[in-house]
Amino acid sequence: MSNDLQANKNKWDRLAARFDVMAGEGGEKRWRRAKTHLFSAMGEGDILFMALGTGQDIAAFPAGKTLHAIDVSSNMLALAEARVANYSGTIHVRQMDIHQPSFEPSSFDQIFTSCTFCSVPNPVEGLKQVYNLLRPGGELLMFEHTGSRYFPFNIMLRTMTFLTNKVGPDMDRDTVANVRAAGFEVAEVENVYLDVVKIIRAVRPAGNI
Amino acid sequence: MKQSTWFVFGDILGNVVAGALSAAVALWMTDVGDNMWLAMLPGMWVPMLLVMPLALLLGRYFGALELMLTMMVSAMLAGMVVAMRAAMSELLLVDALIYGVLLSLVVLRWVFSLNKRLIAPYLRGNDNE
Repeated sequence: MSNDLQANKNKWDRLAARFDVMAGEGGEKRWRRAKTHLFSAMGEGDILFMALGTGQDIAAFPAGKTLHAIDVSSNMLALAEARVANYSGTIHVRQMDIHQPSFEPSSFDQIFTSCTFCSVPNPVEGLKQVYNLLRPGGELLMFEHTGSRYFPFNIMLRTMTFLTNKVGPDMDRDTVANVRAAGFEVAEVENVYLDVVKIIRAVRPAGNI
Repeated sequence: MKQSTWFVFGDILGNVVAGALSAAVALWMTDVGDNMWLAMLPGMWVPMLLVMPLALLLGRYFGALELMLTMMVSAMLAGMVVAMRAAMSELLLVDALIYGVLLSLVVLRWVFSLNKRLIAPYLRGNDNE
């Protein structure tokens, strides 16, 4: 593992014990309706959920699904165990960095992310790995916070990033552009809060292998 | 309480506190006779940075990202206006606080209307549960 990736893993391992306290329930409750709407698209094929964290998103999963979930931080996954065990379906959990996936290429029909690509050190490279993990025609469904096109939020988010990226995520990423740069076709972008929190639906084109 | 009502309450609480706090800080930092335009700069930035930890704290209950964005805008505007006004002539603390609170409510109203215009149709309903 390169120094950057190890540093990223260490950062999230250190944050794990404080993560639920810092994030609180406020944000999750505010976003619950949108996340439930997004995760209701989970189908019957092979599904990967990226950046499970402490498992806060599991409450928004539809009941009875079988899916794989990964996170870069083993400490986060240890804290997610109880939520994983309480889920009505089956979640196969693995510690993994998306820059170095250990799944076979074209393994999944759908990949879901939730506030993931604000934190992946090299988002376009990470999204290219996601692209490879999807089967042609497979869907990438993302719940992400990004930068904003609107003044003064664009300045605020850039200012916040100076502080937040030392301990957690970047706040000003252009994730829609990153998804396109990785080769996906963006099918739909829905805003959840201003143009900062959004749902992105993208597809790996069927013709490209 | 409906969740949408809870979050609106949190937004109002956070912004009123941010506006009042910023106005007080800007008033404290500015003396009568200071250059109005130079006073404006710390009046904007210092309160904006000060409300960030406060937004994180309140955000545990009301959503940190949403609260932080609106509170930072309120802090910036309230701090800027109060600093400029305090540089021109004597300003009472109570008047500064009124400026701060009113400006924060204006900011919040603007953010609500912008948000309503931008968000997905299924989130525009009355209930956010």
